[in-house]
Amino acid sequence: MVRNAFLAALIAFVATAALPTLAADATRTIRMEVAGLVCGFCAQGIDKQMRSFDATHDVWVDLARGVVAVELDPGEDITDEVLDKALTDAGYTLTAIRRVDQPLAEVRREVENEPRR
Amino acid sequence: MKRLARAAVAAALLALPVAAAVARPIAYADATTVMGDRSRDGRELSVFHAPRHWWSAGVVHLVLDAADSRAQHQLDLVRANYLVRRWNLPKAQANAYVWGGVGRGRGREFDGGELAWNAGFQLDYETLWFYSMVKSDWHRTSSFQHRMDTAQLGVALYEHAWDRLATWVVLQGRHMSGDFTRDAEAALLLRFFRKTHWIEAGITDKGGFTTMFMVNF
Repeated sequence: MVRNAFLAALIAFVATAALPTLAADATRTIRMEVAGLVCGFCAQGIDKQMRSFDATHDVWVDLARGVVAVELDPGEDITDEVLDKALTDAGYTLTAIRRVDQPLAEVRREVENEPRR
Repeated sequence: MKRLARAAVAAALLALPVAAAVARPIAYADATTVMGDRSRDGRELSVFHAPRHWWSAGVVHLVLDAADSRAQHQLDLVRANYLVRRWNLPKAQANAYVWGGVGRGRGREFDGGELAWNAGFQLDYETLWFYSMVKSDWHRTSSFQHRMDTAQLGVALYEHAWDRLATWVVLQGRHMSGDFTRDAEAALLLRFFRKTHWIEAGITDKGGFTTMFMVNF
């Protein structure tokens, strides 16, 4: 009886301790809509700028829809203000931003199914 | 026969299995750009570095040929480029650039080098499928002066991701005035752009060739 109670308590402890860690480690991608993003130079400059952040794992730029997606390293983040400044400094205008708990590959598949600009 | 040869060259260029469009004096922040071009009017090689997206500086070597080939002017300049204004639109971008340079000018018809000045501007408008550009470039020393006006209209042949090969067809008009004044010249160019590399080649209505390359790193 005591042994079963101990096991149950142990499982509950491990579960509650591990779940937040797993959630924090879920792959997160920042999706941004960018105005003025129409050319190869634009994409090169933004790609270079986004890869300069330590928290960046991967970057994808879609000219057809004006989307920039940045996959973050586990547990890392880049604030909206920093991203807005980086895009402004690169010469572009950030018009929308959101975070999704998806890897970049999934975000890319979704974006590519959306209508072009 | 000559016309047939020209048509064959044009067809061969168009059949190649292959910009993001506008050649800009400032590529993007922290980029170094090497550009070169060769045409009826001369040859130009330039290297620019852009610390920020709104300015760059570098060196230019320019050789201009007179129509009769008896005169030639060379300029070696230090030049700065400045983005006056950029318009970021939902589906397009437009830019206004100005530049100025100073250096040495030389010519076959006079001894030694002279202080040379350069000034110019460029306006461009670009979407994913279309672009237009007008540019004017002036060079002056106490012995000569040149002005080169260029206009371009370009169309992308297919939708392209920036890291895949893009192909544009460009119609160019160019007029050189000043000491080496020539008739306006039209050219049909084929432009290939992939990531950091750009090459273009074309034929002119006078039967000449024009080429250009650009590399960013």
